[in-house]
Amino acid sequence: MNEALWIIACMVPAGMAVTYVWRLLGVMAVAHIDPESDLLLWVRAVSTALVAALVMRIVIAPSGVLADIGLVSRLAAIAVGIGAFYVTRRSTNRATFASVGALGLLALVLG
Amino acid sequence: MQETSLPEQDATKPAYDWSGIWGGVRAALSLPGIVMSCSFIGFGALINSLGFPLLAGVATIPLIWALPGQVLFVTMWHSGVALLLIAAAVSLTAVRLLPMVIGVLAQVRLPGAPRWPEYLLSYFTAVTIWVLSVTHLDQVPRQQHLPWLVGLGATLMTAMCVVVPIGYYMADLLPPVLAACMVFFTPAFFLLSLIASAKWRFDWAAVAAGIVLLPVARWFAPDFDLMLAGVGGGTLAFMLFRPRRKGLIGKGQPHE
Repeated sequence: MNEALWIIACMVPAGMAVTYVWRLLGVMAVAHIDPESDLLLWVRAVSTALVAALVMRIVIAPSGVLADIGLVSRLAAIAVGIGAFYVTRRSTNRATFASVGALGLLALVLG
Repeated sequence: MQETSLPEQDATKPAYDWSGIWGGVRAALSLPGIVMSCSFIGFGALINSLGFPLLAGVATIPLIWALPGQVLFVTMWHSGVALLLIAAAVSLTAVRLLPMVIGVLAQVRLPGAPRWPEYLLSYFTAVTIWVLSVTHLDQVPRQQHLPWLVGLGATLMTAMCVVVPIGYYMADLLPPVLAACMVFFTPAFFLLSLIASAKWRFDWAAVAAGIVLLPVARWFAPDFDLMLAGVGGGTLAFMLFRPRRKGLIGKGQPHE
C-alpha cells in the first residue's frame, strides 16, 4: 500500500503533468497554430518511433508470462497482425485479434 | 481567448447541446470499446507480471490516460530507471496528443462558445477518441459533437478502471498461454494503430526505424534503448523523408 502511494506521488509530476501539458497546449494552440509546422511533424516522427520501439521492446524482451513464449512465435504473431491488417482492408480491430490469436496458436505448436 | 472572425453578429451565442453525451456513452460500448478493454485487460496482466502494485496501475488511468505512456511508466519503473528519464520518455509519447487534440477540437469545437468544454475534452483525448472522432461523428449533429466525445471518453475511462483489476486477477487464473495472449493485445494494438494512422512517408520510416533500432540500441545502451531508438529513429526518419507537399494533419484514414 505504501509502495503504491509512493508510486502515485511520483506519477503526478512524472506521468500526469508531463502528459497533460501537451493536451493543454493543444487547446491553447487550436485557434492559432499551424498543425503542419516542421517542429510538430518532427515531434510526430519521434513519438511514432518511440511507440514502435516500445512495441519491439515488449516483443523481444518481455517479462513475465510473455517471456515463456518463444521469440519466433512472438515475432511471427506480429507479422500475422500486419498481414491481417491488409487482408481485412485495414481493420485495426480484426488485425489485433488475428495477431493475438496467432500468438496463442503458435505458442501451442512451437512453444 | 478572443475569436477574431465572426462573420455575422449572431444574436444567439453558439452553445453545446449536452444531450449528446448519451450518444457517446452508448458508443463506448461499440467494437472499439471492446478492443480497448482487451488492451487494458492486457495492461492489467502486464502490471501483474511486473509485480507493479494494482492501485498504482489503476491510478495511471485517470492520471495519464494514454496507454503508451502508461506502459512506458510501469515498464521503466520496473526497470529502475531514474524518474527524470521516465518523465522525459512519457512526455515524448504524449507529445503526439498535441496534434491529436488540435485535430479533434478542429472538428468539434464551436468558435464563440465558452472554452472550458475544450479543456475538458482534451483531458479525455487519446488514440481511441481520435479514431472515433474521425469515423463516428458524421451522424451526430454539430452542437452535440463535443459532448458526444466527452460522454465517450468519460465512460471509457471509468470502464477501464474496472477492466484493469479484472485483467490483473485473471492473469493468475488463466492458463499461461492465454495470459500471454492478453499481454500481447497491447503491443499488437499499438503497432497496428501506428500503421493505420500513418500518412506521410516519414510515418512509415519512423515505425521501421523504431523497430530496427531498438535491438541495436539495446545492445549498446540497455538503459537508454527506448530513448535512443525513439529520438534517434524518429529524427532520422524525419530528416530522410521530410514532406514537401502539405496535406491535413489528423486526417489519416484509420478504418473502423
